[in-house]
Amino acid sequence: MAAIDTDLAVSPASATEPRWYPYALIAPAMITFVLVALVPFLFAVFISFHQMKYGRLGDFAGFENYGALLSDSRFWNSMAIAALFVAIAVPLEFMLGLAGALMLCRPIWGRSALVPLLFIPTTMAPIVVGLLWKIMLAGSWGLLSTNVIEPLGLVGEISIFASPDLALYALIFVDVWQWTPFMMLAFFAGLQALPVNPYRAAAVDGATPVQAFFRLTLPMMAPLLVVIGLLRLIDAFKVFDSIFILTGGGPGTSTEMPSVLAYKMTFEFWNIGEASALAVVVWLLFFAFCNVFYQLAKKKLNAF
Amino acid sequence: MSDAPSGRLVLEGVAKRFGAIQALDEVALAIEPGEVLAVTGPSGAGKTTLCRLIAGLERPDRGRLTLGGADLAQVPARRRRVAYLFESYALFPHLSVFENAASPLRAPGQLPPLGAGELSERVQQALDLLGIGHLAGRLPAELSGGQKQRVALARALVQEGATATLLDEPISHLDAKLRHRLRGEIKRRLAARPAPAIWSTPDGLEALSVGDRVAVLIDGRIEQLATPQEIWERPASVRVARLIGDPPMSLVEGRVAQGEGPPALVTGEGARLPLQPSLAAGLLQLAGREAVTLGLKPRAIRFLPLGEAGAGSLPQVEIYTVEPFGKHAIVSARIGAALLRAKTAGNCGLAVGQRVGLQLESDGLMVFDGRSGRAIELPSRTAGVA
Repeated sequence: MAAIDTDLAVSPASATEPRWYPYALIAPAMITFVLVALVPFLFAVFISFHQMKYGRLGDFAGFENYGALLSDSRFWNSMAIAALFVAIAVPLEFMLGLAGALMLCRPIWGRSALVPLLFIPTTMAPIVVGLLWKIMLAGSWGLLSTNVIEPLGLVGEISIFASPDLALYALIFVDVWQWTPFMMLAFFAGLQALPVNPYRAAAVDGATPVQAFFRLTLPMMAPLLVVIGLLRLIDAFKVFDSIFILTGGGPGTSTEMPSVLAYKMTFEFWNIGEASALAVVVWLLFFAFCNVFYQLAKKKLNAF
Repeated sequence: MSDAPSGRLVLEGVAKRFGAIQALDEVALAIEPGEVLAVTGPSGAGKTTLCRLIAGLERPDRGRLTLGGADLAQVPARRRRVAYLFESYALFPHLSVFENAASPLRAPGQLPPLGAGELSERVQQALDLLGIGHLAGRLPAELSGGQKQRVALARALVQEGATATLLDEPISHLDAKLRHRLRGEIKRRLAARPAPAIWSTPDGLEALSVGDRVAVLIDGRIEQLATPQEIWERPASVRVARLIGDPPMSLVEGRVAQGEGPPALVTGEGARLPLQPSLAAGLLQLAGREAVTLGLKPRAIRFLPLGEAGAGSLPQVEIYTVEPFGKHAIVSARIGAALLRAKTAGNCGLAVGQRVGLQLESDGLMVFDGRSGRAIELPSRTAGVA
């Protein structure tokens, strides 16, 4: 992978093209990016250094918003909840997805019908997923809550989403339900693309199937695993829709993830300056994390 | 590593089919420890299938494989401990050249396990022998085709304790100089192993040079299994004759005509190759074998310039091509659609279009059945040409 020569993509015709031609080609993408991503982001950074309440831009405030944010226990609570959510949901989705993908690689009857079906949770709008599980787990009449959760005695005749101790785990369950099939299919596609000959060589060398998995499949899949895992990690940290529908961050602040907190700061407390500061802090965190991670992966995996 | 269970590799009546293609049929072989069996044949003949069956990557439809007397039917590939060089290299893309070559030595079947020092010494030695020692840290994606093949070769060479060695076209992608050097080096190492070896190659001459015996595989069947000398001297069929030789034997198909004029072999297009009466008579004696293919080794054909003594009484042909190779040259003339190729001295002085006398020596002549293509033993070996 490291040796793919990108110079090959440069056509010899470039000598005869006008100089503006390549810029014209990337212009649509760049204009879209600037308008819908860069400008709003820079504006958010700008706001985060100002007083802004009730939609009126106030005076320059320096790091006041950041100071307020970092001394806000609700902010730290949201970060801790997000960390717990990601630490449980992503590894679960990752491992279940990989196990499922390996099973899909075996000759199963009806696989071609199964694969599109597996995509259903991932293709559903998160709002719909939220509503679906709200109904399934509704207290005293939800299909799953009356038949499974209440007999187990976990919660009384209330929704599991109303339990301060269990609501977060219920949200994790919903996230796993929604995203495991996506991981499974992404990994399945990666497994299908692996070369078959190294496995033959490994078999002749004397490797057991388990060794072939750990010494061949995992290393050869590593670039894909890293990219998919990283995407899922970032996405899980930012999860909003299903939480907004299912718990709204409650009970209390027990499921208040940063994105939910930012929403509340903006549209309930109308403290847009501090909400922007929160957005910038989360961005900085991931920017640093992704860079470190990418450099590590590049060095360790001989990839990218 | 010499305590590895090893011994004769025997194949009996082995057949393998892939869909409509009979890849191997009725293959019977026995290879002794220390022996190198060269398997040659055109592409698609079943060479790779043969290797894969022995390695355990495929199961035969019929027949039996035994190694050292033990039936291999229930032994999975990973327990056979065969050293296998894949035609497609099958390198591990995420491992360095060194780790690729070392991989079989790190496998769990290795008994006793090598110490780290001995392992790296053996691997480095193999890489150095193959001229890729300086590439030890590279990844396969950063190598050329020939370099990849040498990594695959190193992987097979380090397995001194293998129960059998299978080299599927091991040097086909190397440049000529390296090929010449490595042929002998590899052969030497295989002979030193207490295990049978198979060396597959589409190049008939390479097969002759590396094999203690040579199996010619055509359309999944063993056409001839013999010593290199025997195959060189007496190919069992037209199909073997086409694969072997430098240049290969010239083959002229036709019918023996006797009656009007001097006896001759008349080809489909009506061209005549004059025959010595005794040979024509011998051919006609074989009932129903009027349709024959005459095989002429390069040494059996001589082109004499018309001015030379004795050339006047010979049938005349026109020189078609002249290819000088320094010490010798390959000169050809046409008889109908067939090409007669002779090996002459480098400075033969013949030119394209020149008319010359054609003299055939009985020593390098062979006769094949016109229909089956099998070699025919003539009643009298006094064959010759007028």
